[in-house]
Amino acid sequence: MKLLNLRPAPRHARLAQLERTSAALVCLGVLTPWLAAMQPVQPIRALAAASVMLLLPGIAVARLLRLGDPILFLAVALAASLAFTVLTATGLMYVGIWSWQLTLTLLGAVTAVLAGISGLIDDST
Amino acid sequence: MTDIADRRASDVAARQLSDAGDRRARDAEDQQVSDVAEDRQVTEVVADRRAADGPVNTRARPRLDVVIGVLALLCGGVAVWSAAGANPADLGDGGLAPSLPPVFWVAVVGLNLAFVLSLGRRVPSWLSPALVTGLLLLLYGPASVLGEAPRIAVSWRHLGVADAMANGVFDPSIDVYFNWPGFFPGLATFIEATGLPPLQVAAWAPVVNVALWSLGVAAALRAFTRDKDAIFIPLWLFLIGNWIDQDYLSPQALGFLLLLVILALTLRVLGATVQGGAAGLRNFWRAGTRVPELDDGRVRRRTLALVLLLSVALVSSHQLTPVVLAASLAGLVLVRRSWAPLLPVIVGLLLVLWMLYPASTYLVGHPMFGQEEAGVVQANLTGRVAGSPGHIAIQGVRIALTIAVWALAAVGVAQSWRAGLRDLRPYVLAIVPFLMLPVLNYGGEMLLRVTLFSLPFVAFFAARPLAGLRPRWRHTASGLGRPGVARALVLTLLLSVLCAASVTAKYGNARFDSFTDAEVQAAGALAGLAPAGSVLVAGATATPWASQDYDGYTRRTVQSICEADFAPDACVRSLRGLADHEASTGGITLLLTRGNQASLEMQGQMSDDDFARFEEGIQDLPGTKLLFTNRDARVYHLAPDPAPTGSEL
Repeated sequence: MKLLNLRPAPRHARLAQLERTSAALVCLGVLTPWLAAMQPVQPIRALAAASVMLLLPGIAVARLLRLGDPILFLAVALAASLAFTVLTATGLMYVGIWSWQLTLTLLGAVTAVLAGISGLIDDST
Repeated sequence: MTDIADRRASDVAARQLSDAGDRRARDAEDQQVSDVAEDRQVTEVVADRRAADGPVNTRARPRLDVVIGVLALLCGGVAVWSAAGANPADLGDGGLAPSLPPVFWVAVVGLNLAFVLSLGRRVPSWLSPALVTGLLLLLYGPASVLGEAPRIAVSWRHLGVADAMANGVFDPSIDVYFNWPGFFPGLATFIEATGLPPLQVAAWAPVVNVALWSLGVAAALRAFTRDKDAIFIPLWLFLIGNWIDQDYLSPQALGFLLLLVILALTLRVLGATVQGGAAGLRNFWRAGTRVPELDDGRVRRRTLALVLLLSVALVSSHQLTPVVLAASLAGLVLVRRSWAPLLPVIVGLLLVLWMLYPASTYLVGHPMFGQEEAGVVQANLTGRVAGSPGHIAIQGVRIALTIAVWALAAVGVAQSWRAGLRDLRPYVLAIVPFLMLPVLNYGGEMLLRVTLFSLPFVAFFAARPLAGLRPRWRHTASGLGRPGVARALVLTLLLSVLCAASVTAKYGNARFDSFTDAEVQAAGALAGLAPAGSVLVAGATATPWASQDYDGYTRRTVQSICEADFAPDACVRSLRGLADHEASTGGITLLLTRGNQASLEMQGQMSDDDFARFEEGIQDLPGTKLLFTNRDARVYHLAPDPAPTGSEL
């Protein structure tokens, strides 16, 4: 199953694909931080943690922008993920409750919420 | 007339894009849009090729493409492999370049030849990224494998700040990092969560950062053209011209990525065009209606929200980049190509708010705005071109490379203007960073930083004259024939020379900004040798220290302590005075390394003989103890004078 197909599909296939991708992102947003927090062997741990910090929230955001260009999509996904990571971690440090597990959990929650919104919003009207 | 006709064709295609209805409709008509884009691309290629007086060829050569892709990755790999053997202790004042084996330079030529052979024709979508990956490895891979530990002392310090913050230290009175902390909690999270060795993260940061920047540059440049060559030649030049070495593990690297992505979104999603305006540059503001390039208001609002989020992350992470962002956005508003005229104001407000509250501790006594004390030119240029003959030669290469790219850009600007390119956005984004030069006070580094900020858009123009040297592909009855040899060779040679200059410039300080295991071992031993809270002194800023116990010690350098007088005797007296001053913590602990000596010598502060006399003077001081020694470093303890004279008191 193609989870993160960036290429625009024909319209009749897009809505179904949108739902599948949103659902996949919600699942990844929940499961990946949990997987990283279990501290599995490398490179699984690094891949899981890096995907939460560098990709998932940004992909959820970039999908909301309906960017057709894969280069812009990828750039936005990476930058937005980094921005979420920076702001979440900094906020937690300011209030004195930072931990990497909590940061990843919040980033996963952001991913799930944004992906859920993306799945619920009907941009066709 | 041909140019006008082509421009009209491009305008029609562009209008077809912007008039294609709202975003939803465009999504639904993806195929048509991509066809329009394709038409536009071909139109622009044709226009460029006509300008270069050559035919365009869109027929594929799949076998050649595979060879080019493999060659690119092979050249990148060979370059990294050949640089991995270099030991900083064996390097001279010329840095890494003179020590590289011939195979490295063969890889430089081979990679540029591969790139040139991908120009002037249609190629598969994977080929250009493969070529860029090859260049990334060739130019930036050596940064990751040079020496026996991560290079650039500042990246060690940044690991230390992240480590301190992870351990609950969040005190803005410590230094500037704790006033713009955003990058460091993110780094701490990354290191802790991935479980990767921090030094490996720092070592490979340049390659990763520049890869991310390349995405941002390509995304931004696609706002101006869809022509593959008009995007990848500037990207190639950007990678070559970026000798500035701000790509290590740093807030600047993150800030530059955020800046590029914000600009890309502003140009492409929040862009505006002026319809019905009067002709001519002088009238651009007087008449016409500003209309959004993207009709879908929902997507524009979401993009605006994302841009604000990115801006907050940027403002919290770096003190300089948000200023350049606000100015660049204001420039786009002034030429009426932004649909969000309040965006620069909002970014400015975020910046002011950050300075008023989280960063206020640091700003007392450290003004951001205002001229350098030494004057702009002295602080940014003449004051930096000093030191040993080899080091001055390296500075010459850096200046020559920068001027070469700027000169190409100047030619490109003239050609673009003559060809009727009246899209003011790239001009604005290339120029605006330089307006910051006399305004911002950044410790003599502003020229380097503004060069980096403007480089993507300077490279956009610099690529234009080079595009005229693209090979002409001959048609044959069976398909695409061979390219014209002369143009391909000239362009290959030119790009290879620029690449060689880039390697020379970027790694010109490798003798002292790269480290050996012995130096790392000595710096690591400091924590066990010096009492907590005491003052640690290293010979120079080029020291692999502070990656742990960042807030546990006060760290100073001979370079700063002896700034007024580097004469060995005077410098020994200064250190003695500091040891007396720190009597309450038992004196100071002094680390002298191979790289420290090289740094002082290359920057003209202390010759090798003076350094030897200085170290002898330290050893002769009463109470000095040698605590640690190895091949490349010594650690001394300087005790306070037990019987200070009256004058010393």
